[in-house]
Amino acid sequence: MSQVRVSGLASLAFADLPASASRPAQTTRRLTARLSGKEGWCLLVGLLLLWQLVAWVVPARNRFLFPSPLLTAQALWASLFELGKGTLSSFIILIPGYAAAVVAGVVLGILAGTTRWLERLTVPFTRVVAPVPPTVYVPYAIALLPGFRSAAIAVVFIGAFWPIFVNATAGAASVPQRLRDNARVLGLGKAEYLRRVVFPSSLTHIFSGMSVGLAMSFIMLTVAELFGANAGLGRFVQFYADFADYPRMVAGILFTGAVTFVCMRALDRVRRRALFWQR
Amino acid sequence: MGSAAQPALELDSVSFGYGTGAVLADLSLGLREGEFVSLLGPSGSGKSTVLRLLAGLEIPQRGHIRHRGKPVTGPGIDRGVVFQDYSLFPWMTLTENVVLAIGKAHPQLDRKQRRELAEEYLELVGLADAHGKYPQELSGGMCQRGAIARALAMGAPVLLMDEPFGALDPVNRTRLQDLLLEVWNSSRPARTIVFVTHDVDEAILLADRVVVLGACPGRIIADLDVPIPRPRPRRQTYLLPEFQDLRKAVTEYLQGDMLQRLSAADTVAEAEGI
Ligand SMILES: Nc1ncnc2c1ncn2[C@@H]1O[C@H](COP(=O)(O)OP(=O)(O)OP(=O)(O)O)[C@@H](O)[C@H]1O
Ligand SMILES: [Mg+2]
Repeated sequence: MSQVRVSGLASLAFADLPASASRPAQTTRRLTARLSGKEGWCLLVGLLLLWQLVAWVVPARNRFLFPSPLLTAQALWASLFELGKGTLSSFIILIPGYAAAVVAGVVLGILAGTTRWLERLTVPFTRVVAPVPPTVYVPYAIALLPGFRSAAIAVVFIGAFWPIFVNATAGAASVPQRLRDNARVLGLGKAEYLRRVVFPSSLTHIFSGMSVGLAMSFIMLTVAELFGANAGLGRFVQFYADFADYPRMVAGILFTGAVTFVCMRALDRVRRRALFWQR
Repeated sequence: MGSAAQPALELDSVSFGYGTGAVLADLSLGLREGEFVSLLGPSGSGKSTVLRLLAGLEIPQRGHIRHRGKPVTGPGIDRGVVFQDYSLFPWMTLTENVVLAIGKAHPQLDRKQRRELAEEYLELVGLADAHGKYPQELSGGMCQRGAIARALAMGAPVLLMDEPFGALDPVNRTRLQDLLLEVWNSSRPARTIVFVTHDVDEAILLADRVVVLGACPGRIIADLDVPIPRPRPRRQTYLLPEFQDLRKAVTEYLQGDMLQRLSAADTVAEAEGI
């Protein structure tokens, strides 16, 4: 990427040189165009190969610490049922926590972004409380709340809430002037204005908050599960690490990664549907 | 000066600026009920600002704005606006945009009636096929007609239109001029219209009165009645001596204002050649 940009700049700077001067840049660009969207997968396959190579080289007595891809795949296959159950139990925590964070973050964010005194009221919180890494609340939440599940839901909520709230506030505060004028001359009431103008106009911000929030919920979920769960994806990884079953542990990590990836992709699909009107 | 004793819509010694500089200085303008006034002036002279003040989107720093005797303190559905950038909500279809406005202006109509009224007005502006389209799927001229349909459908007694036909081709332009006059004529009481345009012919053809703004700061440099009886069929009207005299007068006011601002000695000669 950077190489393309540099040669692009160079050809700009020496605009009166013969055309051949910019040819390398063009070739690179063509290559990038052909690869576009697939580079990530190429890298992934490359890393897998590298992993297999390293696994061959590692001395036999260390092999249990560094399982080969093949061994990991076998472990993954063997624990697929357990992982499925773990996913289910993780989702029972993730979904309510995240959904509550989305609703609360969007509603409060839109109100704070459009109401002067509410915004002033929340500023100290967004400045001081929001930047605290929410993982620090985990032990206390577990001690404070009845049962692991409610504690984990609360912690996921806290982790996802701030990015969504902060982004929704920013989105609601930056509705373009011409749309605000339009709403005003049409005589929209406050509620209708918030629902039909501010909310759709803030969706870009809201979705970026939601995707940070989703990543955050996965982090909070797995951290919480390391502390006190008896099921779930984070718990799976922790359990087999304790028993030094590294193939299964690595399989658990990869599976968690895949679940996260699928969720992020799903959110991205929703975002594209909801923002159809943006080009 | 063509205004009656009791103006329906008036700016009374209004001064206004967005930041520090003055955009409008001590500007007074009154419109009779049912009067159609064209507002001309060079770019940046404050035409849009006058409309924004009348719409209640801006509050004057000095002076008063009144509609039917009551001070204007904010926007209201008794004054329909077509913005210069003819913006519609991009997440609503054309029909939904118009339906939203109708819902506020005619709350007594039910869902189906609102929809029918919206489609009727969209048809009137020649957008019968574009009902379900989103603004970004339409051309600039189509959006502009959508915004006009929205303002007309609201049925407000005052219409504030900022270069409403600026993005239209000549055929659609004449059609919409006729439509606007028809809407204006057929409403009882007649609507009061402020119509901003850069087109001198259009200004005279449509209006009862042509007001010319000068720039820096914005002020009225001419306020001329149009002494041409209606209806005004285009071909005949353009040939009338009254029309041509008025056209000449307005153009001279516009050029005079421009020359005044270019009065740095060496640029004057160039400008006169144009
Ligand atoms: N939102 C704003 N903030 C600051 N200054 C503004 C703003 N809008 C307009 N102005 C200034 O006010 C003056 C008048 O602007 P206005 O838009 O009313 O002109 P106009 O007559 O409508 O011009 P045009 O024919 O180009 O539409 C200009 O000098 C412009 O720079
Ligand atoms: Mg303007």
